[in-house]
Amino acid sequence: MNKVGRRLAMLVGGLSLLLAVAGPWITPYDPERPTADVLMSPSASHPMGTDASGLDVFSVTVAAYRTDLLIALAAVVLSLVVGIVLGVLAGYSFGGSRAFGILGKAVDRLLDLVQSIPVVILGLALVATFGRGMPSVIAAVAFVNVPVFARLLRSSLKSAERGGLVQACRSVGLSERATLLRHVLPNSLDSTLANASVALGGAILLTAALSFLGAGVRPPTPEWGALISGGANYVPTGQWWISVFPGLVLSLTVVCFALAGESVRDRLSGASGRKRSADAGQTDAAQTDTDTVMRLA
Amino acid sequence: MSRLILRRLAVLPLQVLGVVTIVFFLSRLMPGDPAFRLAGSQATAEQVAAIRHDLGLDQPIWAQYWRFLTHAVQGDFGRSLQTGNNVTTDLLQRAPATLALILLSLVVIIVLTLGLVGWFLARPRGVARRTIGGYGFLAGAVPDFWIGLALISLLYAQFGLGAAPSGQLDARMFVDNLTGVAFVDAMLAGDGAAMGNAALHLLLPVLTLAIVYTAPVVRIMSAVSTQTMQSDFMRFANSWGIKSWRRVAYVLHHGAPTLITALASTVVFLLGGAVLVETVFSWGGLGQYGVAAVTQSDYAAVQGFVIVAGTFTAVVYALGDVLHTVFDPKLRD
Amino acid sequence: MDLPQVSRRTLLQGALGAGALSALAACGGGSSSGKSSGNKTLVYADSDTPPSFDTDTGGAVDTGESIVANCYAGDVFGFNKVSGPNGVQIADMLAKGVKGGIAMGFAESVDVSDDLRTYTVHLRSGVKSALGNTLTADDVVWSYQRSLALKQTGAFMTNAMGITDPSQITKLDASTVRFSLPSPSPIFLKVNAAKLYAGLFDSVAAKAHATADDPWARNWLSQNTAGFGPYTVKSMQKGRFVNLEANPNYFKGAPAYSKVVWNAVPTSANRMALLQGNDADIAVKLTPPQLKQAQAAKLKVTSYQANQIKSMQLNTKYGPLGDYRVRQAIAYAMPYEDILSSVYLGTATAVRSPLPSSYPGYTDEYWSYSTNMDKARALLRDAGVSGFKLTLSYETTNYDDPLIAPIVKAALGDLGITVELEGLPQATFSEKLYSRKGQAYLVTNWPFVADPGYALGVYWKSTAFNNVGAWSNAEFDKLVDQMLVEAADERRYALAKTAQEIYMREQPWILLANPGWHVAHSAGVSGLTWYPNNGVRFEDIKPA
Repeated sequence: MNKVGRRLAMLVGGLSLLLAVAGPWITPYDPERPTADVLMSPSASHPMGTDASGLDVFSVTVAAYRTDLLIALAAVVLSLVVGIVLGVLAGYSFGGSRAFGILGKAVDRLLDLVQSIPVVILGLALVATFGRGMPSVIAAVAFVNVPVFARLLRSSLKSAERGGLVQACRSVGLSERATLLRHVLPNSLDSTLANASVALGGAILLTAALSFLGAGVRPPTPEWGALISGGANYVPTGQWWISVFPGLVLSLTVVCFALAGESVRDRLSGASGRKRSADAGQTDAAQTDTDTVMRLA
Repeated sequence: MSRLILRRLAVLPLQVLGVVTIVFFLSRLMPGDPAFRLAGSQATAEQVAAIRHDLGLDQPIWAQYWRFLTHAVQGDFGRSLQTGNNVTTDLLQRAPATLALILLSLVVIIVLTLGLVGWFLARPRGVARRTIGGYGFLAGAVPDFWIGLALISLLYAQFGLGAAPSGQLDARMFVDNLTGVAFVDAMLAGDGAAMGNAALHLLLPVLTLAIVYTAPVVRIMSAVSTQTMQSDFMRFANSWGIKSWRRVAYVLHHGAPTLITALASTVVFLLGGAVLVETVFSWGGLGQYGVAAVTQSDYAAVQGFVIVAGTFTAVVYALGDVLHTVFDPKLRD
Repeated sequence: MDLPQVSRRTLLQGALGAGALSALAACGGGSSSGKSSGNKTLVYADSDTPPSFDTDTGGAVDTGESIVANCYAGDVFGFNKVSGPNGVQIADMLAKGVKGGIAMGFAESVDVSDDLRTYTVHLRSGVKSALGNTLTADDVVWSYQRSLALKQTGAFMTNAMGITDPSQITKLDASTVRFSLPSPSPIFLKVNAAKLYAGLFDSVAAKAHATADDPWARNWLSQNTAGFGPYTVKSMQKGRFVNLEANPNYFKGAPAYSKVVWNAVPTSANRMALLQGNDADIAVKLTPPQLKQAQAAKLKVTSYQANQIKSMQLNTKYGPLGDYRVRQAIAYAMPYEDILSSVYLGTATAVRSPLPSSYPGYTDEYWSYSTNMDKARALLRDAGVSGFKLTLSYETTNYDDPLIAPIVKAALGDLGITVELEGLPQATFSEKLYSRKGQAYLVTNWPFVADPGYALGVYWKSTAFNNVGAWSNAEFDKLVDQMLVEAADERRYALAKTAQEIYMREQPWILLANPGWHVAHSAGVSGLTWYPNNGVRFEDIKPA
């Protein structure tokens, strides 16, 4: 993707964020109030048509933006916080402390284990455990994302410890705590934070998938996956617009987040990549790439 | 090398144990008493107590864990509420359909990957690069279930390609269910029409999975190939003026270990994707069973399904690592 | 004979199959393709397979009822068929008298005592089950003993016949059974004909699978059928298919289709696609837009505005809903016409009484609830209620409920009642409904027995299991009890009229629509007949 493409993505992404925030004031119709105009094809008055309840698909899709974005943001923030804690435990040596070493290994294995179950299946199992509804979906999506963040931070911390920064801090007599919180962590969070944008896209996809399978937010909360699933029943009778438009908007949003994430990462690696040794930097980048690219799928 | 492999294989049972453990503790986190759920709303207090005793829920947690573990090892996950069968029986009945979907998709993905990467290597700049990049991004962003629906409405409903999204075979075509895979059953029965029909039913689900899951493999392989092309040994080889097909062969050979790792991950993603795609196409495999179990609160079935999925994943990753070791010249003895 | 239609798909299919086969060097078949007209396989597409074939214990699930209708042919008695509106074949619901509309079924004849307390059934001779055993009085006695012992759905209907104890059923000889009732029952035969819970079991076969732990062969009968009806289950996979085969010994002779493939297709869109692609002959539970589309295509839809009632069932123990004026206000606020036009697209009809309009004793005299917001507001004012919160629960897998719910929400919102919508999966919904923990629910009901005493009592008697709103009215209860023992039809209908008047004043459930019975099928099949369970009986179906 070239620069223009990225700018465009940022623009579209920004616009759609605006839409999510200002949705209720912008949308032409009430997304909850059924009308007698059922199953109308796209027209000037209903740009995305209407569904079987006579709801304006455009208005519902915009309303769903809020649901999905809220879930994705909450889940990513939650998983970022937990991921950073676990990442530090797994990746930082704490001056060679044995107890922390064992704990770190244990965390590492646990992350392995959680990551070994396909995300959709893990998400399904978690929703089955906690029951349907928005809090469960947030918990499930966050749970699935924790290992990714923890792993990214772990590898950055490991390479930071191999580099000179930690030795430098220790040699001037800084405490382990100060070394970690003031110097190592702030310098190692780049790739973890850059992944947040990509993770937002992934979180939206997972939320939609769970709702599509009937294990997401409670109906009739407007949500993209639920809209696609509800509209699917009308595709064979020719009313394609009910599920096609929410799908397109969803995909566009995910692409925007992914492009934004990539551009953030490029900038970060441009600035900080030179600090690390060539070897460590390369493996890191390769691993990050595999993780994020595969996870998006 | 063989020591590396043995060490990797030794970890496998531990991973499976880990999955079983996670599932057990998740099941204890569930709100409410499982005995109440099993007994139903009309049950008396004695019935609930009897069920609790039958399930061993009146024992301390470690005893329950041990019981769960020993039962799981014997393949006993309890009885499914939705079918009334033993969960293991249900899972075994449905596993072949899902495996067939995954393996066939994998073959298609490999072919597509080799084709696309070959094209990219032949013309590293320009159209190929942009196409592959764009495809990678889009395929990663569009939900697989939506692609499935789009293919049904576009290819099947408009052009009559493929078959109705109703499982592995038209209802009229009946073949004896021996393997659980309709195509294989039709082949064993020597029924040509049913085979053709089963192939049509495979077309759209496999296409859906291939469209979505080829992208990440192609992305990684083209990134690795680019690195290889710029490596010293390739520059050396190029300076000798080797033919372009040999260049492609060198690069692919060099990328084989990465490809294996990527494909192992792909198989795992395909299992996740199968959950969605099976639901779209009423495929009747493990995924659809798992989804039905979740929506109908059939907890024994959910547990069995997650344990089988986790075990499958652990085995695939182990296999991937072993093959990686075999193919990576740096790890040879 | 018509030329078989060759579509692009059939051609492609043949080509693919031939290609695959030549690789195997096997001979090219294709004759097993079921699309030619000579084949006697009927493909039926429903939303699911039955959870259990034993409805005696499996709960009231429509798919299970269909299996009992097809494999057991119901209980002893059946229905006479008559021609209904638009020439649709229907079971006779309006015939009067104790034996009105009743077909003898497995009985040769029945003697009814003058006091309507003794029913002596003479069984038809030479009736054989699919397993080859001959029907005897022992089978009848065993089947009723089983229902009573298991105390579930089968027992519910058995009780409705007036039988609560095994001693009431006596075997007089090998082919004669006597049922003795404690009080007169004018509807004994009608309940029996509509009883799709258990049917008559081939007790010889069933007993062979009984164990000490399982004396009533519950395990075996939940997975197998052992009936004297037209079909028998050959094989099945839950959630995927059931293969039915004609009972070669069926006493009415072999049905037209020797095989029925029951295909479980969860989404209605896919069922529609199967029907359109000629991959299914019959599809049920289609949505109104799909029914319209089926009519527009060259498919047929057999419809009958039968006995269904879609209602919003109110929990009268929840806050202001205990006041009948509040319930009346809700009834006045409902946009009935909008629901009929925008949800059902004209495929449903209005409901004007708690009794189905196709049942005897029906009157629409007391209906006064055409949408009127002013009246609704006035009633709320009278009741001293200024607005409250209400959670409306519904099943998300149904087509109509998720569409009706927001309409109700908007209408009640205008009245100051804040409605919270709660869409639930089927299992969770049933649990909530029967635990009576909800506040309001959207439900479709259809009383099986065409009698006002049964139909009103089964939902609204204060002791009824289905009375999920816990509505209780002593006068209504008394009227129902009188109807159940009153022999004279005219007097029964007069009682029913008063009961309907009470209902319409009290509005325990808000009556929204009659969705109707609609079965879409290819032009190649005919003979579909409506029965009060709103299912499909394959023995009626013939190639057109």
